[in-house]
Amino acid sequence: MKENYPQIMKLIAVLNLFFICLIIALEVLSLWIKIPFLSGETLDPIGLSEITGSWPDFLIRLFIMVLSLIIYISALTNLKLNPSKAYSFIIGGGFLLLGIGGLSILIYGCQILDLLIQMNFEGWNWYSGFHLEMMLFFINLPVLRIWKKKYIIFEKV
Amino acid sequence: MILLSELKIGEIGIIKKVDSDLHRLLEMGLIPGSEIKLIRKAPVGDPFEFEIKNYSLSLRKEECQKIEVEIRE
Amino acid sequence: MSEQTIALIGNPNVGKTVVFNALTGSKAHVANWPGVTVEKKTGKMDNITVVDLPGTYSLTATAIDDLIARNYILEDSPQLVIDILDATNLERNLYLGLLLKEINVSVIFVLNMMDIVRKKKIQIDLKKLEKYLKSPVISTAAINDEGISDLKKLIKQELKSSSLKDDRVLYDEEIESRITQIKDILTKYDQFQKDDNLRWISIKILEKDEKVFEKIREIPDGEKIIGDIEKLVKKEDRILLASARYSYISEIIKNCYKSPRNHFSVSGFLDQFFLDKYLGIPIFLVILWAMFEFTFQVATPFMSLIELIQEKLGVLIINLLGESLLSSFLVDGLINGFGSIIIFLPNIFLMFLVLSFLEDSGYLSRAAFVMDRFMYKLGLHGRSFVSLILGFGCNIPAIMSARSIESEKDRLVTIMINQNISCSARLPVYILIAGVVWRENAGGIVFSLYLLGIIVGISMALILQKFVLKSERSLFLLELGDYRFPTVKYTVIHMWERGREFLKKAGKIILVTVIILWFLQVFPLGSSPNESYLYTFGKFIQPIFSPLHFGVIAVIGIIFGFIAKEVVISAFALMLGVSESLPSLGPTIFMEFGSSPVIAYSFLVFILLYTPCVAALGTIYQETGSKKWTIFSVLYGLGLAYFMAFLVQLIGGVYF
Repeated sequence: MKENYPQIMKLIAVLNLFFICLIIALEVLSLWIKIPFLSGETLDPIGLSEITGSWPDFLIRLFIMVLSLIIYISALTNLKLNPSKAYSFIIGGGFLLLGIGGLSILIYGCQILDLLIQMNFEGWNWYSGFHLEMMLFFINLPVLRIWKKKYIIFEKV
Repeated sequence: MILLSELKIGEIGIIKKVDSDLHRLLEMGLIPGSEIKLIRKAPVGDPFEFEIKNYSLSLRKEECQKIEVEIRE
Repeated sequence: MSEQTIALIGNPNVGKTVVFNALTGSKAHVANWPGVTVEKKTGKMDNITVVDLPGTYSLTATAIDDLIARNYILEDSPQLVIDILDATNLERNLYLGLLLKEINVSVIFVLNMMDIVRKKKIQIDLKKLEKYLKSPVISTAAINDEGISDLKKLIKQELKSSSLKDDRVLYDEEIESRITQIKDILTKYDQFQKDDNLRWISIKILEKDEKVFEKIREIPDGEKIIGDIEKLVKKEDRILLASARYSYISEIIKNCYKSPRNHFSVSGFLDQFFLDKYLGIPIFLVILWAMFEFTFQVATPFMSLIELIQEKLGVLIINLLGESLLSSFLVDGLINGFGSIIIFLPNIFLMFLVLSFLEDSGYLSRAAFVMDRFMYKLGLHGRSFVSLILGFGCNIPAIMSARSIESEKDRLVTIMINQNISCSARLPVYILIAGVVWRENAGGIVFSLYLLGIIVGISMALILQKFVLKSERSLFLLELGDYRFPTVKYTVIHMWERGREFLKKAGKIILVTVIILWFLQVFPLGSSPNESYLYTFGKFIQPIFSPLHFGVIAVIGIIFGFIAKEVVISAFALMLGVSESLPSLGPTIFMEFGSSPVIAYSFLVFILLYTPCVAALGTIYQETGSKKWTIFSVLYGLGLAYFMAFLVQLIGGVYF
């Protein structure tokens, strides 16, 4: 089977876009849960708002997701006009999100490792420190494969 | 003839005059007769990225103003 | 037979380090070049000493790396010079090659990165290249060990028959005739008769090379020689010579090098994204954030592990030996001493791991490109930014990394303001004190300290350049090389080499001081903490700090923070006789500041700004080679810290 790389890249971009929107929506939702004066009383019996973490952490994550949103929207809008730019955004953005997603996984793993070392699981929920950005790591894995064949794929672009 | 700093993105210039004080630039290939292409400017407009002798070199506007080029048609 | 030495030379980013490691096996000896502080790496290939020269584009007198390389080749006369070239970018790489051919030395040309050459479908005729360059040419892909054994064979062969032939590359007649005339003038003088680099000297005279002129002035008839020679030098000779070399290179390229038209440019493609007009800076900021997240978050479990081992070891020793002077020395002195070094290793190594990754991938030069405008406003180089960022990890490697900045002035300013960047060793002090005093707002307080450090650093940069270091702006030359996937092996090697340098430099000092600290605190024997030598000394100096409301124990903390800032906490723990963990130590320290948040904050400001640790000072001395600047950095740190701490208390209303 011959792989259709432009199609794969388009698919990656759309998948990324979907998850980025999902993450932003969830972050904003959990924010709404988090702020008591909006909801009157806490709507968060299991502490789901912990996903957003501390305020600076939350704002930085939101910033990254909004940036990624812009990246993939401009990638998709540039597909016809300037395919080279569009592909570079998908590949470059892919590397960036591989990093961000990979980092989230790594940090989550390290948190658990730290708890294991200290033997102290009190007050720990599986979702504290769990970030949906981890998904982005897996979505963007094919970028590595495409990058390996860059001299074949992008020669014509 | 224009200054290297006045080149537009994507334009190719042919270097006409370089100050001999810029010895290091000369040695990097910015010699009279060389072709130089402006690839992009940094996000805030300075420095510039050029393609010269098949590699990409970044220079500040300040230095670009000491080099004269002629636009290749 | 005398020991044989070969030297590796090449442009930056041609894989020189990789070739070096492939030849020597990664056991490199790292030291500094005499007089300057550029790193000198030497290794052994069988019995042959291999010297790694700094990466250079040319051999001018103005850049420190160039000077080191050429002085080494001219004065230490290695038997053989290996010039490593990036085969995908031969045109510029060959320039250095031609410069080497002007010197009286045997050269082997190594075309590296052949793996990429094949992928790019570039064709290179090695046999023809050999004829043009009149020296052996060999191809390698060092990253895969390809061609390395052939290179080793060739080196040994060349060393055996290293009879120098007159195989120089010639320039056009007009230049050659003037070179000969200068040579004729010089040979009249004894000093030059035996010099076998007369051709090189003559060419450098045409290029008005300052260092060569300086050398000539030193000899008795110097002024007269220069008078004779100067008539032969034309103003545009630098241009003529550079053009002559490049036109010879284009002839070589035309005949030996075929590259397919419009081949795919890796850097051009990805830079559309990473250097985008609007997204370039946000992307850089995200990468910077990721770098810090990685460094600090991933280090956490390792630090816990180290703490755990330290604690268990302490308990074990006390159980075995009981409470005695020996067990106290072992636990409080030795284990705590080692602990205070090792606890920061995860941070330092991880920081270097990301940095090596960013550097090897080619992004670091883009970061300099993106940030240069901001640094330029401060009168600095884009590369200073990276060095300052490194300072957040540890000022020592940050100060060392300033080496890559060419201009002396930029380097000096970058080194001087680095101490204002809050290094990770200061963080435990902030966390401990801020955590107790401000609880959930501690994050904001710590952030304000980092910000204060940056603001002070920027002001210092401007002040230094306005009043102390007035000089021209340096030339900004930055190659944006191709992006590459860093290999795990070389990223780890780079990380290890840099981390090891820290261990060697700072480790010993920290260990020794912690032991001294323990000694001063325990003796005279059987005394209570308030009778120890340490306390007496602190009490002696304390009056200086009484305007700042710092008590004796705070002063002792400051004294030992001079040795290493993380020791501040150990000092508190020792003096107050509590364990080093947060719950018991924090509140006790807060009481030391009269439970006043303003005084606590001003103490943190003092910790941030005063003289960097001894290890950093040692590095500053090494890097600047100047006692004056080292003393300056101590004094300005102390003065500034005192002043700002006072200011905080003034604004905070302690005096009203």
